[in-house]
Amino acid sequence: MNQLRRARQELMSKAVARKPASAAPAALCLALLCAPWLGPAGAQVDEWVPELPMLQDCGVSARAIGMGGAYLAISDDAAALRYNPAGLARINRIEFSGTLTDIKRDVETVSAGTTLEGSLARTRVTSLGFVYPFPTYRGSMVIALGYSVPWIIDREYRRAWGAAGGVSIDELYDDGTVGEWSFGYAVDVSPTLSLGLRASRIHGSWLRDSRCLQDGAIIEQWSTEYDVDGYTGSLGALARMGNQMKLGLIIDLPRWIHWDPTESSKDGVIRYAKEDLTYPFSAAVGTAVAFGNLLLAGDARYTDWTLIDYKGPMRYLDASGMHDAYRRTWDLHLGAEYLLDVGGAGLRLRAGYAYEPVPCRVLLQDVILAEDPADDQPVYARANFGAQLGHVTLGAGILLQQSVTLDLAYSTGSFGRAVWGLSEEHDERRLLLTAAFRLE
Amino acid sequence: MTPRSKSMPPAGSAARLLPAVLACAIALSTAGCFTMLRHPVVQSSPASDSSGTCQDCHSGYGAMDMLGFSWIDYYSASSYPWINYYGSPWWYESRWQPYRPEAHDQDECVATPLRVLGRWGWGHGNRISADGADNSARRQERAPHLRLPAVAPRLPATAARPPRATEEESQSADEKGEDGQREKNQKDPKKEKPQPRVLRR
Repeated sequence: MNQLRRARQELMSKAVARKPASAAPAALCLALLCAPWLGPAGAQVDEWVPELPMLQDCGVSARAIGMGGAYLAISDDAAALRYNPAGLARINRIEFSGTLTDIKRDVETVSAGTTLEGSLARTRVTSLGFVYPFPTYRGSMVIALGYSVPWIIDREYRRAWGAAGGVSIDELYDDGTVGEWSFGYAVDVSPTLSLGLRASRIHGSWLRDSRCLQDGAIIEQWSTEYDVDGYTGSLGALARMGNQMKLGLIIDLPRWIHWDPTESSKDGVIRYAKEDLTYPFSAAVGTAVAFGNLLLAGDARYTDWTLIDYKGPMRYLDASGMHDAYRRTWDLHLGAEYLLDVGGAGLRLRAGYAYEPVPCRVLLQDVILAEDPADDQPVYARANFGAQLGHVTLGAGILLQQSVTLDLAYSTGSFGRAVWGLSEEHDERRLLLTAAFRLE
Repeated sequence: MTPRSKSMPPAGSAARLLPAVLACAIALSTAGCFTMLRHPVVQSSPASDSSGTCQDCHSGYGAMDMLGFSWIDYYSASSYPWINYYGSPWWYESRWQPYRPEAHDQDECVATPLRVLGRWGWGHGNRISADGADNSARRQERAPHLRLPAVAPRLPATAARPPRATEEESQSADEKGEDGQREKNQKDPKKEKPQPRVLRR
């Protein structure tokens, strides 16, 4: 790594010598901000391993998030369309539901001796659902339609870079969401087993505003708009073990995505070629057990992020060779719900914990500039993650008139990571409100 | 330029396969399924000497099991509104209303529509707990406004013919009343299956 650093410094000095001093930070900005997302044709695109969006599921149900996301084996409302479609078979009244999410993300970076903070908060509609149970003489058959927004891209990121011309600052402002239009179907195949499936069309867009500043002045700025389309689905099962326990299993199919970037700046509009991206499948298993008024739930999800296919495997090069930039993760969710009788009305209190490791394990440490920006070389390093606290969640829900439920959830979490020359601290806070109405 | 991974098919072809995979999954999951959307057509067997009523096929209290509602104990410990929210099918009155055992066909089986509180009791109203105690009194005490309705019939698994009861046996069965039903429910239901008429679907 030290040899690489010396090589980087030599190259930087040579590259800078060939350019006017004032242009060096701008060139660095351009190389840093453009290449990771657009994968320039003809360049060594496999060496760029950007941290992709849509890696974190922000949740689409206040009851689920209030229980730490441990909803796989519960799934007895419209949120089952997303958490476990087999749970739709447990619904026997026509249901309409919707969710609002307020999310706030803070990112603090320390690099080149400069501490910068980025903060962004948004409120969005993150789910709409409709469930229709068919009348049956025995068993259950249910269909559902829904729109959910599990991926909220909103974020502001600021980072300082040290260069021969001084310290420059990159600012990235992401604004947008990617959602799913879904159809779900569930049926009882035996007295104790339900099967379900979900088919989804992924659709969304987000805008990235990029700016490079030096000494407080904007050197360069442009906007890139990403239009996303794709398909995915899931297969689920829910089994009843006695009267107090349920087991759930779900397999989320790969997400086949293509996005269409368009860049606009003062120099005009550049439309890039569509790119294909495939996120890997994941599998999860969960259980829920009732002890009187107390409901306990837990689930574990496995995802092999090394299978991401974006112009090939996501691998990076360092002094010791080629390595996977992403890793395999186990997400763990634990939750509890307590049922209270308050003056004849139903009140449920919830708490939970979600441990969701960050799939990308590298950070862009530096960029070796070349005369041709297309030949710039990224320098990645495996990040050291601090104690990942995960997300702590709290929630409450109430039943009104035996037909309407209102649920509220609060989730807070953070993580930190660092490489030589850069450290990041990410904090996230989410507030969800879900309302559901069941026809009698 | 690094070539694309050849192990992953283009996104377009994979997306086209997805509907076919899902359709197969739907077909397989519903073939010979436990779930029934229609009442089977009942056909009298020429050799049958049964009374020809719904009771020939369906047993009495506790016959309809809320099989899919496994959280009944979780919610029954609390107020009935939650039970009504989760355990009360919107189609109850058209499919699972209280039936009249003496009726001769499905239409006659369905009683006059009557909305009864405590639908959670349907199927579990007189269910005997594992320790043999009768929970109906306990539930009444917790929610005295609940009435325990007669239970909708459950179709037996086999198509054997029930034995015809003699007049004396019928009278003694009437005299037993609810006690007789409790005793019946205490027994292992698997060993005490009624002998149904031939069913034609």
